[in-house]
Amino acid sequence: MTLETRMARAAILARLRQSRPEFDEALSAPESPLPVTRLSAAELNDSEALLARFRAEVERLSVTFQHVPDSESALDALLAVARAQSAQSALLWQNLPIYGVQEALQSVGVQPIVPQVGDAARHDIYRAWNDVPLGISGVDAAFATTGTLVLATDSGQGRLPSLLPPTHVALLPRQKLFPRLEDWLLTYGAQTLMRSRSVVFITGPSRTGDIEMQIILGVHGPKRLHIIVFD
Amino acid sequence: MELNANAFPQAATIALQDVQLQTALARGTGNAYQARLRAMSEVTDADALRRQARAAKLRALQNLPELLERFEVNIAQRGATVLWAEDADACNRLVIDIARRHSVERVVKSKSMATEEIGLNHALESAGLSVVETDLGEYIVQLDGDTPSHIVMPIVHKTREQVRDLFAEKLGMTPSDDPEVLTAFARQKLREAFLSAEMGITGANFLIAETGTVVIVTNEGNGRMCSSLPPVHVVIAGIEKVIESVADFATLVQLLTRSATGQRLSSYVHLMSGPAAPDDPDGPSHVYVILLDNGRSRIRETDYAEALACIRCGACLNACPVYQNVGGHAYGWVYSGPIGAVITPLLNGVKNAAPLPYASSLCGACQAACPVMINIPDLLLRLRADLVEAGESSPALSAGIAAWARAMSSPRLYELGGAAARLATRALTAANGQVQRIPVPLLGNWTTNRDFPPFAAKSFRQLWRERQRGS
Repeated sequence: MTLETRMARAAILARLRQSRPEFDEALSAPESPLPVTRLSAAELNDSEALLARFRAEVERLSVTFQHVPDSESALDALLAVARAQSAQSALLWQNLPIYGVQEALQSVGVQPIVPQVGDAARHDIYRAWNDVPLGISGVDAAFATTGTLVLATDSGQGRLPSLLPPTHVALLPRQKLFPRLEDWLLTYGAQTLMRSRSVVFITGPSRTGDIEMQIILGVHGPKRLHIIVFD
Repeated sequence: MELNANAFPQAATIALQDVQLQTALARGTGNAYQARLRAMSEVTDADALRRQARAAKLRALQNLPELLERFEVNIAQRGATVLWAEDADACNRLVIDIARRHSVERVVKSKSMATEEIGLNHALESAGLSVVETDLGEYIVQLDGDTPSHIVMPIVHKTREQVRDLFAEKLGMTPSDDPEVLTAFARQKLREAFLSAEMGITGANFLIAETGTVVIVTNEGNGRMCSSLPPVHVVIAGIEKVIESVADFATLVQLLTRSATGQRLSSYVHLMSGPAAPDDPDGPSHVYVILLDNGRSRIRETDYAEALACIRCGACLNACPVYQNVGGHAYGWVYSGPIGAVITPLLNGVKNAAPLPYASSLCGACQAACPVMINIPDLLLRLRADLVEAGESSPALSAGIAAWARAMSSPRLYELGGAAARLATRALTAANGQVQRIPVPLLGNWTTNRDFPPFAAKSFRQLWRERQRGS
């Protein structure tokens, strides 16, 4: 395997170097790329307007949006979701943007399950987490014009809480809201991608339109996405 | 996948008479076409963005060797193994070797055109591995022993009743034709597959050289499942998928999803840069990225290099009046529609897909829809020229074109030809005032499916002369 793929590498690269396609148009990278989505002056200058845009975008995608004044009320909102789902357990990040989540969940009878360092190598454990009804994560960044959340892996931030359970609650500190995907990518994209092995942009719940183009939510990932924004 | 492109005329004829298919195609392509128009109408400047996206892809094609090396260094640094494959067989062997090395028995797959192209599923099954397609549409196609008919909507050709019957027959499901119920049933089946698989295979929408990142775009989340749950994750990506920078990615990914489904962004854009880090709480232990050539470097050396800029959004399929009517299967291979009519001959030899360059009216709707502005009509015309040079055009057509060329360069011959056509079509005119059958080879094809209007009794030149005389 090794020899054949090394020879293939050399041969392919040699062919690619031997000739280069020419195109009669300017191809140099733009100094500052044209942004894709439109943003009103109000959305650019006023954080209320920006949050309103984010809210409108995620609600279009059947996401439940809640804006609360502080982290204590964010915790209350989170517990209310757990109660509404009658959750007995929850899969969550170690690194959440609000304190005391694990203790609070326990106090209302929800068992917190926090994937730990070392669990990555134990793939059989994932099966035991399959029936957990609720996943809880923080958010590394959010984009207003597309209604997108960014979740990047780190020691206390795994992939599974936002992937396995049918309901995903994302705790979003308001200062993580950016106007557009392109703004964030140009400023923080490269460093985040170099740091985290997995970065996911989540725009609404899991969906499919494969059968007669009828949109169905929750085909593989979460069916319900609940975003709690707090100041 | 077996190549059957030379049967296009027959397959298209059958497709045109399939009422169910016609209904499904009208709904699927119509919805997707409108959704793209809406999504592209709300961006800052659609044409400027398309030029920006096009420049990013063409620039990457020029600098392909350097970008591939940069991608390789960056992702290998974080523990991924990068392998290179010259062709389909080599690629399939690599995947089988990886499976053996990690004692893999069960494989889950996310939708990937490249793996369809190399017939990966068949190769893995022949090697004794179980393979489950996990995109809902692809799962249905696999259960049915069928093939996908659209890049983005693999079962655009199927109805809910067909899915109901398939699930009842193959999976013993209590029959239901509610897509919600069918989807929930598939979710359960596929979740079991995700959790028991030892290997996940995905394609890649982009490879970002700057950061060594594989980008996988899905709506269902199956791409994330395949790249997060099994201990081994294998990515199979054509070498043309590499782009230079995060900035290029910002433009391209948004044009991709807007052009494909009309979404501002798909539900999940997964950016993966290697196996789980030592202190990550979850994720794959081993990641392999196979860079597949399979004819791409050869295409890059030709005048058709631009075809490699395609980002597989499927917008040209939805916009094409030919695809809208015959669907994807008629094209006889993995890639269908206008871009398929270009890529299939390029990858398989133009003689092995001779009808495809003609499966277009050259109306230009494909180029107008393309987010990277590939000049598909021009590429199709060049392929037609290649076919003629390869002696693959009919002698009657060559003789006809030669005669037409002579007539068009002499006013006298032109007028004589017109008079002859007038006489001939009038002699053939049926009771309904139309020519229903032209008894001449090639020209006769016109009247197989429709009537031909007879030439006017007097030509324009004749009328003009009479008018001059009269005044």
